[in-house]
Amino acid sequence: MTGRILIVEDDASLQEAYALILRASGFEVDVADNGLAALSYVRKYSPKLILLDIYMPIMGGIEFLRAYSSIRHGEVKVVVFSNLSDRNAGQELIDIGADKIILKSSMSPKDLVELADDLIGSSGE
Amino acid sequence: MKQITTNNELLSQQSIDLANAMPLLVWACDSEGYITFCNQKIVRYAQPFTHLRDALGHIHEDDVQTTRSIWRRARKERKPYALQHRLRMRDGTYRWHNSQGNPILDENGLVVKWYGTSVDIDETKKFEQEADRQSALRRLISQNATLGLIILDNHFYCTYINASAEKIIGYSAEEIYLMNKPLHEIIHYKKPDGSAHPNTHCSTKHSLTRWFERTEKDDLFVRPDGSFYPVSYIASPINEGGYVVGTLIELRDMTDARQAEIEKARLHLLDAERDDLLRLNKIKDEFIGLASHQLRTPATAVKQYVGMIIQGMAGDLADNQLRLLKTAYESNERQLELINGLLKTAQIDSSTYVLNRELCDITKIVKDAVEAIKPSCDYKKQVVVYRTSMPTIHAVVDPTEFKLVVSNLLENASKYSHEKTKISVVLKENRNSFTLRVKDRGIGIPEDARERIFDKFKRLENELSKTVSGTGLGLYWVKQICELHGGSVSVKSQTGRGTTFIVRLPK
Repeated sequence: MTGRILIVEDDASLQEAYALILRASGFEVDVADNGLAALSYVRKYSPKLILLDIYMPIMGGIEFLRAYSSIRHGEVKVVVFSNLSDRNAGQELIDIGADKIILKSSMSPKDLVELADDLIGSSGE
Repeated sequence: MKQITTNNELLSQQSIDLANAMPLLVWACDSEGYITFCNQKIVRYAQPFTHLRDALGHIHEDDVQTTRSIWRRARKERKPYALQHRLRMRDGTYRWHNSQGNPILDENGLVVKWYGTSVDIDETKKFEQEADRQSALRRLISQNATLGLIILDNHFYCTYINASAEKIIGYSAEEIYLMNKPLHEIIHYKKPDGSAHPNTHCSTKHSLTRWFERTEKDDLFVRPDGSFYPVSYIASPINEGGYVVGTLIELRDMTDARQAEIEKARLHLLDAERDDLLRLNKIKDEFIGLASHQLRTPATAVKQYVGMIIQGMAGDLADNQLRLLKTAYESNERQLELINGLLKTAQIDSSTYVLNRELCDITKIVKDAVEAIKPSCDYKKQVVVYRTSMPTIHAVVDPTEFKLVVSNLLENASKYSHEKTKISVVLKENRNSFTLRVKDRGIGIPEDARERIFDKFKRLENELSKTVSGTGLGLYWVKQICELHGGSVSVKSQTGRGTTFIVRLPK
């Protein structure tokens, strides 16, 4: 059994796409629409991987990371799905706890599965 | 002192009385200069003297020389003389006198005697000197004042104009006098629209008829050639004994001031325009940024869903279905590339854009970029040769952006070269900088297009442009990124022979 993945993404179609791809590869996936919902989630559950969007209503990815740093525990990887305009914030994101920053539009379904496999173990296991 | 008379000179008592009654010095002497008569007035001035030359002792030392030479000439020429000189009074002071002498000639034209008079002109002389001084002073002020001064009589004719005013209006005092017209009709007779400017509207008229000073800060006078020039002036009534007898005009040429105002206004306008442009540019950047972000999300979703189907996550597909979906996927990829390009451009154009510089091994960045391009070069059977002057070259650059520069140049080299050609990449370390040359044996860039290739969205039409994709943003980024690093990019090219891009960046 692989670890649980939390997808934090406000765009419903992307959220669904990521969830479909990862579930099809055997991952257990939960979703949150924004940073605040994600914070409630991580207070109850301990995902192995968080895929985090930056621009979201109510609470964005950066604000989530700041709030999350104080309650983060265990082996949790946070991958920020950034876009080009976040480029200057790259180092800041690493500083506040992002493990990896990935250009969202460059990632194919195959890449997404490989990424999850790399970080939390093969989906086939 | 008694009157001196010679034996043969019989002056009537009446003549003597007359001479004594005169308010002037009267004397007579013989042809040799010996005094034969002095009136009472002379006696009040001086000790008695017997010869005319004794009189020299009573003349101001500065005037002696002149007096002596005039006397000599008069004696020689036997002609009357007149001169002005200073004579010493009994109290030792000198007073100006107008002296003259007349020879009395006999029938042979020889001098028998001289009669002479001296009139005290000291008061007049001093008055004249003062008048001269005043006049010189007035001339000095008038000719040197930067302010134009004009006096008009109560018929608006110019009665006085100083040099500065002559210069401003372009007419001399004499020309104005010869025209014999009110000044208004010479320099103020028309408006810029060509219509007449009646003198009833003229401020000078107001000052004359309404008894008050009038200031015109923004008026136009007419030059001799008919063109207009801006002036400002104050027209004040000249009051004499309760009547206004004319107008004094204090005139300034405002051409320079107006020019300066126009220039100032122009600069102000440029500043405002620049601010507007900056503001608009910022809005544009924000718009492109936001729009790209909004456009990208659905395109990214399409990529995921189509990707899922292509990967068989929704079941097996027939070959033609797969082919069509792959085409859709590629098309979506190009769309994403374009959106990302727009976003990248907005980012680079943004004034808040900051490079993330760090000390990097340039040779490695270039090597990575070369490795990355190799698959597509292999596809076209192109050879990429990479040489570096040093095994490692360290420089402070933004590694991501620098790699983008190298990648873009390499991609272009490959795209715009035919198959089986060579691309060489040469990295050279200099004292304070490093140089990267990317040279291809491609189709080249026409000379007239070489500057434009760095423009935004510029794609040149050529034999290969139809077959290769591109957004027209790559070289724009290359240039912007090089300049952000304080460096430069240049290009050398020969149509049909190839192109070399040279990047120079500081270490």
